[in-house]
Amino acid sequence: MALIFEWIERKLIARIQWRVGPLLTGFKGVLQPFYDFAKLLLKEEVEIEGMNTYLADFSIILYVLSSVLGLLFIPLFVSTSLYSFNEDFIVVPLTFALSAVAQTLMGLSIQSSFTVVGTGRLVVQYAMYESLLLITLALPFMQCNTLSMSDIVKVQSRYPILLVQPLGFVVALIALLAKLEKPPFDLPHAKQEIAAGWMTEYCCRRLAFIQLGKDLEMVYGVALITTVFLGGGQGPMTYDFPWLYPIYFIVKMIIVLLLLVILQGMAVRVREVFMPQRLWERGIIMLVIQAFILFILKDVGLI
Amino acid sequence: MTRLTMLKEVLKSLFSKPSTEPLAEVEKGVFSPYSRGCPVLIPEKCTGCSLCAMNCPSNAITMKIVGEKNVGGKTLPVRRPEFNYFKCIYCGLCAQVCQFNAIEMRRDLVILRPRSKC
Amino acid sequence: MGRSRIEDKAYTEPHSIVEVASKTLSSYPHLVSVTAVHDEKEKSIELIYTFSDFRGALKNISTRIPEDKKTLPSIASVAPAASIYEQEVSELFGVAFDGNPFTGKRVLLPDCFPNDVHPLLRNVKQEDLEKVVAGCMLGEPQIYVTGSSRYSAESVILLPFGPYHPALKEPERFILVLEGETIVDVIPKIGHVHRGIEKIAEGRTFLQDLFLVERICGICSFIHSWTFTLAVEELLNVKPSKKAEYLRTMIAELERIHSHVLWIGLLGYWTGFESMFMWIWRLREKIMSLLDLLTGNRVHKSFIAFGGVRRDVTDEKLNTVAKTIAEFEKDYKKLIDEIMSYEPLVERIKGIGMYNAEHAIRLGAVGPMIRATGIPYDIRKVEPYGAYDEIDFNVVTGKGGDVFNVTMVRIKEVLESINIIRQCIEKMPRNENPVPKTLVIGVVKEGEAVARTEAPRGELFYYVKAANSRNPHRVKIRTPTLANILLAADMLKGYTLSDVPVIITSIDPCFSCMDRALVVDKNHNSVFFVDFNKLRKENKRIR
Ligand code: SF4
Ligand code: SF4
Repeated sequence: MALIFEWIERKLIARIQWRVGPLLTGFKGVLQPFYDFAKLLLKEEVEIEGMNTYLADFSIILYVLSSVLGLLFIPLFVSTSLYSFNEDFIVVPLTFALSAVAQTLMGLSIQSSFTVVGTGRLVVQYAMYESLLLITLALPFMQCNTLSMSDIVKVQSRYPILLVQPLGFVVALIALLAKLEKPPFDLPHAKQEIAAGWMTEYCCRRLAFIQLGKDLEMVYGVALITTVFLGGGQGPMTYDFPWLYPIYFIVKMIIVLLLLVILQGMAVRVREVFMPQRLWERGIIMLVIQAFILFILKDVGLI
Repeated sequence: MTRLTMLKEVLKSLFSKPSTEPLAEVEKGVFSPYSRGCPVLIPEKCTGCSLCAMNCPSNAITMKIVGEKNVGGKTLPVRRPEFNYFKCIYCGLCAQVCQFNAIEMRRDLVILRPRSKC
Repeated sequence: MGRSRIEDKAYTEPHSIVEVASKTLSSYPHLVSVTAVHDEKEKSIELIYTFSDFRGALKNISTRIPEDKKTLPSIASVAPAASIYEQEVSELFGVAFDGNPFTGKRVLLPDCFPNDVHPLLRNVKQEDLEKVVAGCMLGEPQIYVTGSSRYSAESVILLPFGPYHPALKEPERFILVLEGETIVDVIPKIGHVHRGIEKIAEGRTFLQDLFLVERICGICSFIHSWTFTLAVEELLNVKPSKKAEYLRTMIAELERIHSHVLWIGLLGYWTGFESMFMWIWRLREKIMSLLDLLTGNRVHKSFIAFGGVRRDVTDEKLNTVAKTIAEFEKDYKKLIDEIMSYEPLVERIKGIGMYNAEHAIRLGAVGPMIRATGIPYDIRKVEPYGAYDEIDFNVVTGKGGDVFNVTMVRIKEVLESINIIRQCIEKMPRNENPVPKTLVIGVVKEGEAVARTEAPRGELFYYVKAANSRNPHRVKIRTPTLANILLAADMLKGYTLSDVPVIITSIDPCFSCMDRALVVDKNHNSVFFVDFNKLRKENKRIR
């Protein structure tokens, strides 16, 4: 699933750039990400001198698992997920923190100049997007007076929160780009500046799992936004035909992905010094406005 | 505002046909209709003067002895140019310097074929 | 013009060269090149300093030093641009320049190259050089040094930028000294793509060399062969027909469009705007197919011949060119308008890498780099060659040096080139035969000639010496990138890591052109340091 999302993303980006994207493996290249993954797995592992292999392996596992952990709590197939408990929104910041820690550890388990600079950028970036992303995600929960994922999905059976909080949605998308290190926020591994940043010294199996981790992270992020702002898989006739739920969910995820890709397509990588300005100055103002609207609406009793 | 124009451009590109040419076209390995082609000797016209070999910029032509002939009682070796198509840069200079038009540049040959797909 | 036979060389004694140079500089402020020629019969090395002013006048100052005592004072103190040219001469000929900031360092040759072999001396054979290089490659690789005592502080990070780096098209190494995200120093090491073209050229006939020089660069290949042709035609005293001149001009301008458009696209890539990269390169494909149509090849055109061009172009093809160019212009204008008004992009390049005109002249910058500061120095205008004297066009200038202005200059030059091509098609005499009767030229009489043209990256300079033989005695090539590299390294300091790709590449570097002069094309494991401190003291920073 994660790998198919990678294919969709690659295809869309390619179309924006007048290319055709992956083409040869499977139908229209749908198997290309699988092929890449398998190819990396089959390569001979190169041990780099001075690399702390235990730390690297541990952090890679942590990285992959952090997104899986998050996905467990998202109601993907029915409106209540298997593992949900009453305050399961609390898990979200935990997974974010875990993946950031894992990335940092990965970067620091070999100390070459590229990884050091890349990790430095990564930490700064994390400090910035995390607060934004959490606030944007918290606002819908405030609106519904709940801390549970399943509740927020149920509340949205009438209309998606997106209609009330469009600004929050936009900020969430942008902060998500920063979290996924996609352009314009691909500073930690900006290839024209610092080669592959914190991933520079990885190859083969480790790189394969890092890629997998990234794809999972993307799916997790997109699923989270879909759940919180678009009401998960809720849609017309889901009561009568529960099997429609996952289909709606995937369609909505693809729409969110499309928006992300369009944002990426028109992105110019920000200079490091403009990073706070870009994310905070504009993001926070939008959020404050959003919060105001929300409180007023709440007072008036419209929602 | 400028962002909106850019958004328009992005959306336009998203829904238009990609401009990449399919690999199948390349695989046929034909020369472009305007290219100079590939040098091929017409042995009947060649006199073995070596002018082509002397001027070839990549030294892709070697004069090979193919036989002997009798001129005024002396036996002289008969030489014919031989092309090394891996060294050749397909510039067509040999065909242009040859006074007897003994080298033809042909576009219908497939000399180097791109490797098949991965 | 654009070319001249050297007849009026001003001879000076080696010890007074600094004086003469500084006097010359007051009226001819631009140092074009330092050329060394070895004369094995007289056992001496002749050094020719070529100066020019910004209106097209050239002045050659020559001096001779004996083979066994190869020292003379460096003129880098009066003309900082000379430092890199002198260093090239000193490595290739073994001439010692007293007071050159690079002295004792290796810039072009690999570090393992023996100190007593000087490849461009006439008595060094090409086969011997191959052995020398093979031998030194087998030796112990030197230890990789990334630290220097100057930068031992904890807060400083040394970041290697190259030789293999995703932002560079070709291998070259810059070591960046970072303090946080800010660059405090840059340590360049060039010469990873030496191929020994100047040496090889001496061993081949003029006609073969024509194809060799074309392969110096994969982007501006035609202009190299044209400049070489100009110099050789001057030696042979032939003039091409009018149609040939127009055809050459047209191809050169198509090539300029393709080179500039390539660069603008890459600007998108360097700033992390990959859609722009793809969009612009899509447009460039039109130009490439035009080149294919006219010359038969997309990259190495092999189109020119001494005294003309190698194939005629029919009217039908010219009409296709006119039509495609018009289409290209429409798309290009629309796309560029959109892109250059896009704030996030403009913000990334405006005010980055600032320099001023005086600084650019001192460091010997050429081409769009110097025009961006407002100096209208364009060889096409000041010393017209080809058909440029009959064509009406403007020299594009900017309003002060920074990456934004350099970009704007390139963007407008593309439009100007479209204009030139259109005029070429209109004014071209239709019923003439541009192909010369014979391509082979045989023995060339003794003489020296220089030629200058405006390549897409700036002024390109060739010096050709013939000595009654089929092969040239010496071919000296000074490419625009070598002239600009000092400025690029200097521009970097004080900016952040995010700006590095944009600044380094703002000179549109073509490292293969720059490094053409020697024998090796293998990378090797060693780093060494050029002391830029001295150089910096001489040129006070402008910011
Ligand atoms: S092909 Fe032409 S130039 Fe070459 S040897 Fe034969 S006759 Fe001479
Ligand atoms: S086409 Fe050019 S390179 Fe090839 S054999 Fe003829 S002259 Fe030599």
